[in-house]
Amino acid sequence: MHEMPRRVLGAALAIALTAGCGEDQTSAQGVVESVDGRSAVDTLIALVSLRDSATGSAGDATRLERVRWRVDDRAWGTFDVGEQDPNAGSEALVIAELGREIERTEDPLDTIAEWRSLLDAHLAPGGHVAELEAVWIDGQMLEPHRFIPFDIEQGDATAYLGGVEVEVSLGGGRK
Amino acid sequence: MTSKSVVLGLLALALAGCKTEIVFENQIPGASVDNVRWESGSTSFSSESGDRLEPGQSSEAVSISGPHEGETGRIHFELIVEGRKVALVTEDRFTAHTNETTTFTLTPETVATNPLADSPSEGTPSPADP
Repeated sequence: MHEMPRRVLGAALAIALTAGCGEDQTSAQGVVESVDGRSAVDTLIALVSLRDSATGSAGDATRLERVRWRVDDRAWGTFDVGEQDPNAGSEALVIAELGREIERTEDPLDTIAEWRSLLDAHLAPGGHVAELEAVWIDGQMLEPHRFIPFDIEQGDATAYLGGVEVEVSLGGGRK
Repeated sequence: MTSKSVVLGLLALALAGCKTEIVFENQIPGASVDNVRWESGSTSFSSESGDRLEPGQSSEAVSISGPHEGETGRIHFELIVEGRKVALVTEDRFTAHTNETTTFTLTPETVATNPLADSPSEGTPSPADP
């Protein structure tokens, strides 16, 4: 299991404190419970950094706009990265929570079939593999297909994937 | 058999046929339904056994008392998949038809929301199986 930096711990705490507030009507946050005491992880957290494939230098992570994840070869969703701390360095904090994916925002949960799919997508304890399938930088979609194995332990509410470096051509600068 | 007992038997049959009852049915593949109840006004009706309904299963009949016969209400239940559950309320209202046994069927297409994530609007009455 990756060790969480303080910044990520802060994000995890924020998620825990806001869970169940019910302010976002499209969100499934905090409404799914475990029946048998097993974990029901619905949030992936990662620190994504960019590296210029031409120069090998670190890229400006604030240029990262959006990411798309798959987990265990199933779609997890596409997520806006959101406002980044300009002092955070070359890493962008990415929080991918079921119920807040862009696809769900455009199509809120409203049938039993969709709720069933949401329950089915939650992750149980054990080994899993996340795939960073696509990233959007300056409006351009790139497909790094980075695979990150991770473990979920009993009682986990979120899964921290650690740092994920994406090598891309950043030559064009900001558009 | 005397004519008196025949009359009593027919009377009993007639009375039995006048009962208003509801039955809950789970037609959701791959999902169980638990703590299912029908709420009419401030009154809640559920089966006495309270058994979890697996896909394809129906509950025992639940008798509906006088003032709630012919009324409409939403179904509250917990959807369970792979050891995880979510509490849901149907958006549509189901009608307990007077002097009948009405089956309320939950299907994948049934519109439902979570009370914490959303607030069901006042929907229009729907047939028993929308």
